[in-house]
Amino acid sequence: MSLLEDTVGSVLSPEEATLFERSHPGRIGYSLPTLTVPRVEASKVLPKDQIRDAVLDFPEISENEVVRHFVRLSQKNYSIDTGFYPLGSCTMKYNPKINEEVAKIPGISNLHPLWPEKFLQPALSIQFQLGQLLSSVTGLAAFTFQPNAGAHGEYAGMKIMRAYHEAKKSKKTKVLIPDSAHGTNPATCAMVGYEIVPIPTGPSGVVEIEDIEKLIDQDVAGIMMTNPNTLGLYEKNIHKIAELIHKVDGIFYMDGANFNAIMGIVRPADLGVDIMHINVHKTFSTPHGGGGPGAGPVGVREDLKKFLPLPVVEKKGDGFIFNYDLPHTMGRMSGYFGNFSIHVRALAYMLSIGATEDSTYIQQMATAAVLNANYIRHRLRGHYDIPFDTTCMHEVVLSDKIQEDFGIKTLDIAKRLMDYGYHPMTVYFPLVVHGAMMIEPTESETKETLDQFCDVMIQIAKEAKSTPEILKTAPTRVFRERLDELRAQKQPRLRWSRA
Amino acid sequence: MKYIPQAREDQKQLLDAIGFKNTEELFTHIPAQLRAKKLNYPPAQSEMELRETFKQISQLSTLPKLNFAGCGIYAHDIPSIVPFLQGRSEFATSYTPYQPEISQGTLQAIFEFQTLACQLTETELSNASMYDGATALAEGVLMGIRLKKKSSGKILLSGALHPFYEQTIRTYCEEFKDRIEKIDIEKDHIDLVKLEKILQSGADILVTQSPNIFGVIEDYSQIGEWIQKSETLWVTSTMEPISFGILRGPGAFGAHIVTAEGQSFGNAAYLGGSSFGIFTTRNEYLRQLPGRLVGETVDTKGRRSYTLTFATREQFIRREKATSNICTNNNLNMLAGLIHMATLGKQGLKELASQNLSLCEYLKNKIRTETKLSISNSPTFNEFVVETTKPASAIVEQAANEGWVCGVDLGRFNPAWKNKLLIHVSELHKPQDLDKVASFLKQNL
Repeated sequence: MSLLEDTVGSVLSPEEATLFERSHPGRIGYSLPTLTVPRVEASKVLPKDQIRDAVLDFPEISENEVVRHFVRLSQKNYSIDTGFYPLGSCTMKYNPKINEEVAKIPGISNLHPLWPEKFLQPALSIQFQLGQLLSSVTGLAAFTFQPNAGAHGEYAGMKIMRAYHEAKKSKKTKVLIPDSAHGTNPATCAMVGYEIVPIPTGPSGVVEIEDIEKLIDQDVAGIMMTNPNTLGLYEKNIHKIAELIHKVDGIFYMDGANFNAIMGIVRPADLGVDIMHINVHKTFSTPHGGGGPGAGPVGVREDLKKFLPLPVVEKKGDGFIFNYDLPHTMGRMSGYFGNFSIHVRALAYMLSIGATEDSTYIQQMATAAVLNANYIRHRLRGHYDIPFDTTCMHEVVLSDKIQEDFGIKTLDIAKRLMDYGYHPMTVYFPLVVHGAMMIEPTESETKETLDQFCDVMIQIAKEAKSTPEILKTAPTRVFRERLDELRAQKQPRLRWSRA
Repeated sequence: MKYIPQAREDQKQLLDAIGFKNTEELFTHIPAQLRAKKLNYPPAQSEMELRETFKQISQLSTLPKLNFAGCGIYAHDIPSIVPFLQGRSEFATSYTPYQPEISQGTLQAIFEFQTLACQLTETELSNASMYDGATALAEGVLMGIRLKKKSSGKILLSGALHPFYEQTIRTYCEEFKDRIEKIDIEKDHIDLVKLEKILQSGADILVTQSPNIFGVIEDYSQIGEWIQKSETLWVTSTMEPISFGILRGPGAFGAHIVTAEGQSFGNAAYLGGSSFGIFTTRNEYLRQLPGRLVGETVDTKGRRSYTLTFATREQFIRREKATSNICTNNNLNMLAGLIHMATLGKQGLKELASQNLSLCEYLKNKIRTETKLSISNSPTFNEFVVETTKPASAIVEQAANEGWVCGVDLGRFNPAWKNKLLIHVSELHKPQDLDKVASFLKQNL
């Protein structure tokens, strides 16, 4: 342990103590007005056995120190605004700043959920307009805004599926899910109480009709499919699969995680999709926030509207209302009306990518995203194994098959990317590809960025052969080297405490 | 289009490189009849136009001149450093910290939040936060059910839960609906006589909220004693986390799973979202915890570092056997809460809680002395119920016509509560604001 490396760090990568170590008794970081009514002693009005004097060990830090603490922490993060972030299936596109600006307008940010509706017209209008725009790009009849994230949207959607079958008194027990699906799909199904039937990925990377025919029967409540799928491939049989599902009165649920590739190109409802969630923090450009907040609005076909969560926004006269009169509703998803702060940003984005003279920016977006992914696929061919080397959509999936011969794994390649200044791609997913590396460039990147990234990937492929040790010990040029993940579990330290 | 850097020349070069003549070739595997026709979509707006559009939207209503609505979402002063720091690109535009070497900022922030959440609630273990208070509570009940394994005993819900919280529990626990039983309320708190009896007869889970829907602080000392003598798992909820500045955390009374809404710390109301949920419990239940968790470790050079850990509980590894399907949570709202808590500090939180309590008691006394309206003697923190002599909805409407919000009509949740007006008081209110409420009630009732 040296003072230089372990305690202080350097100007651009300072070491930062925890809030608790920075704390010093008596330091003040707050300012509150002087109390102008008589101060009430807690012991006079509160149950004595529940009063506490102060929160034990809560930090005491001056404002300047709090600011430095969080600025320094922020500098230890890589972000979209720092550089290229090709995390597959996460759609790390540019997050426009105007969206942040409009979300901060006090007449929008300060609306209280339980105010009379006459005070809430801005919020209701925003959710209503967003619903209309989402309907126009998906073809679905109506949207709920209650779900707070993609997985929460899946949960609402699957509950709607359940409510549909229960209303018909049909006892369906199974849901088909491709083996390439995101983990949230089976986890959601399990929470809703359905049995999961995995669909194998076909030889060309998509679901084959014959496999569906083998698995389908009257017990099938529905199917959950992501399109394009997590291999970055368009499910070319999707409309035929929808027909098969509908034949047994099943519901077609589409996971909209990868909607960025096809928005404006196809409308899911035209493919036979009955329910779909949208990841607003992916396709609709809202910031990921280091893990949220997102939003997961769910759209449904006309006859499923009655099962939507409470309440729904409707137009009435000149204004908007919350309608709570839904006797068949699947219930309530969260405390209030969803992540409204994110809906505002999404609406700003959707209004900015609308129609131009000859097409829409929406179509240009999807096209650019797909073209970028195919360009990367083309440039990395030969240097990395591409298990399904056909025209891909928004992302391309590689494997570490070639590098394995030199003892190099996907993890090593990912970690080495950091040394070259990039956030790694999504690794080891989808599970159907051994050592998967999933690269999603989005439409936000320039050709120079793509070229430089590909140059680096090719360089890493060369290093794997010539100097594999460098990859195995990477990263060495970033804030931290590889972490001892095992120790985090063997000697769990999940909160700060004095040594 | 400023968000799409692909100029016509770039597009040509990219297409040439992959050997395509035009962009249509990228989509040849989609049958032509299924391609989207011309979208019914409004013209794209420039940045200037967007600014104007949202200004107009924000003016569809006028902000109330004064606001006394609480009931789960509370307006508090937000220090200017909170949005300033929370808005930094490095926090806002990064993904979930799956690559710890280049995500130490978010990871250390979560680790610090986990610590503060434990301190507030007097528990041992916290996750990285949930969507909000209601979903945190519902996940808490699900976790309780998992901990009780194959038991099929009762799930007791206090009758004084916020009804939106209860509805969220009922959605999440639909599979177990036959086990759910509501405990009556005695005036404005849980009926302790009935509770004691029912706990003696045995139950799997007890769910309480304090302060409850009426703003009343439940007798956690007594409930805790009974819980310790029973086999029941106790899951609690708190909607106003500022109350922890003056009231002991439920963990101190033996609660097994402690959840709370976090919004009061650093987050604007935003129609109730996005905010964040606090979820804490005992170390022994680690394997059943939902959501993300950050732990401390070292890197290969032995330097202190943080990483996501115990991920084998989570959906991206365990799939259908995960403890929850939660993936994206409301991390950036948690960060706002963390920054607010850090700057308030030990003394600031205590002072904030004390001011809220004092201002609230001032208004209660004012209404008691100046009107004939009844306010219960049950202890409250920063909101309370006035028993109105005509429907509270009419009172709320009257104030709305005058351009302000005098509280929340609890009759909107339950017809039996139609004469209950819930009033929230905070450091944002000046004494003359409080005087106005009292004189308004005097005039109108």
